[in-house]
Amino acid sequence: MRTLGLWKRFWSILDERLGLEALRYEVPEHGNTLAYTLGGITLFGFVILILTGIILTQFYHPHPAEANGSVRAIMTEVPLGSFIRSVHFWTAHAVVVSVVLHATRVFITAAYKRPREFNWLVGVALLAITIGFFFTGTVLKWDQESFEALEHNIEISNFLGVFGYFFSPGFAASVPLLTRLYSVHVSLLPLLLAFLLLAHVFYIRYFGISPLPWRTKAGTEWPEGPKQPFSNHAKKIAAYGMVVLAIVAVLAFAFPAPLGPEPIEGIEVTKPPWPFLWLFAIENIFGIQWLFPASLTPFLVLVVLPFVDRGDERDPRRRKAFVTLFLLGLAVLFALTLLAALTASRGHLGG
Amino acid sequence: MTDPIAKGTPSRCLPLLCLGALLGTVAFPVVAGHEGATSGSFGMGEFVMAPLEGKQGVTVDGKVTSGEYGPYGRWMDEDTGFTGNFAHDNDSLFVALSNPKPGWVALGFSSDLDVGMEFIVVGESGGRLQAVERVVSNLSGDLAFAAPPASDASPLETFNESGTGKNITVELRLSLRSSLWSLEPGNITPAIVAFNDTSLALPTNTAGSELHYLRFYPLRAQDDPGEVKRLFAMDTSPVPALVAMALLATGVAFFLRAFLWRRDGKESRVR
Repeated sequence: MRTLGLWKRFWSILDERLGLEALRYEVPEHGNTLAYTLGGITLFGFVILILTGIILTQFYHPHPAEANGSVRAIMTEVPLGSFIRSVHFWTAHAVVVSVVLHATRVFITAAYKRPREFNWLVGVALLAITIGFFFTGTVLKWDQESFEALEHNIEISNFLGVFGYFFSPGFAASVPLLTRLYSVHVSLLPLLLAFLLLAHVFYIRYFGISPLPWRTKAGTEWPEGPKQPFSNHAKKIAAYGMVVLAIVAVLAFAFPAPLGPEPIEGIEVTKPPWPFLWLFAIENIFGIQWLFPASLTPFLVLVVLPFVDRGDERDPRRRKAFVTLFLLGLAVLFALTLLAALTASRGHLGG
Repeated sequence: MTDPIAKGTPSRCLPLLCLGALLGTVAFPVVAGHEGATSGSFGMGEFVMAPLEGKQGVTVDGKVTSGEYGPYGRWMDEDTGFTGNFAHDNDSLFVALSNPKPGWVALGFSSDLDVGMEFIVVGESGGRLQAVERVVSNLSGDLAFAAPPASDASPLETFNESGTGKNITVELRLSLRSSLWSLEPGNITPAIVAFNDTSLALPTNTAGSELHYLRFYPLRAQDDPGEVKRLFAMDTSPVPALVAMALLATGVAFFLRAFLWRRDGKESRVR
């Protein structure tokens, strides 16, 4: 009892100065379900990535002559280096899975509709940044997979002409492209991420968590049912996040992050990691020139979605056309990914 | 609010539509990929390494002795038993081609696939085996051999052969860099090995012969042959992709169950 009194007093002191009571705003009960905490789980994943990433940057050398060797040193000489790098690796994969599921849930529940269109666009930008993180992170270890990823990046920048200049080696002739991608991975993308996350979280707070789709009538919002304080929501996110962290830790221990030997120029023997495998299938079928348009297409579809599906209806059973098209799109991506996963690697670069 | 979902409504057709789309999108690329695979492009050719050996390592006497070529420089066609052994010393390429049948053999490289490929063809002419230079401008179907321009210096430095009448082994010493090709260590060069199993006569084309499209890689001093071989043989495991897809599919199915397919008269509990 005395401890409780002390804690309440301590809380009151902090709250007076930090405004902590503002965090106890109400959140609908359904906001604490797994489906509605995927965004929070993704954020939790990013926190793990940032913490492990900061440790990795202490030992990583972002020059082509040293990069692979420095990653090898992290794995073999730095205490817990292999585990930390593997946590970073597996969390990156987990974040991609959770962000795609989060976007899928938002779509199915039509949480991109008025007045949340702008927040949807911020979310699409965050998805693009997540993919950008994954790509640049793949390149940094500088093995054969990384080198071929970079070669594809250069081919695409050549296709884009002046618009791809930033991504080409010629942009800064005295600085290797690997080094510039490292600076993007540790400075530009985190900056964009922080800014957009702030906006994303602000608008979630401003508009509130979207109501359940079958609780709305066309043109009106139904009562959202029981509510709970935000602290419960945060606890749920933390709990789910810890589960993900535990799974990632087990994976990191059992399956350390892979690292190939230094790359050999002029060969193409690897396939991209699974988030980009569907593009590998596109390359096989249509050629490398379709890489950029293909990778842009899903984002364009997501961007225009709130402006095409403008009705007030949120129930997915009453939006069959859009839901069907979305699922078909997912099915196509799944099929292309599976096809690429089961196909032998082949060359595309250099015509 | 009554649940509008009932037997036969379009919502229940959604899974069938998705399955149909899945099968359709898989079937089309499989067909397209298969057609691409039969074209024998260099992009899918086997990797062949030429380890860096000292000049004293190889004797161009038409015979392959034990230990003359290292294990990493050996290539074999499992179906016919044809073998190629390769090594280089940064100036010259040492090649031994062993045909288990009495037929001509040829080895070609291309520094520019748009222009064509340059070959050394070994076959019988005037009652004896000769090694001649030939050029090829078409790289699919039956290759037609033509004499190179007279001004081109020959990359052939030394040639020797041995054979019993039932098989043939030729050993060549070729310039790594010549007017016909440039085989730089550390660079992949498209190559073709061609051979016949019945005719020893110098051919004018490859009709009726075996053609193998290869990717030829002379090792650099810093290359570890074992690691390079492992890299060339690498095939990314499909397991991570399959696990990720399974997780995503499970998540999507969960959402469909929670938000789309609700039992009549009851609201599904979103977990």
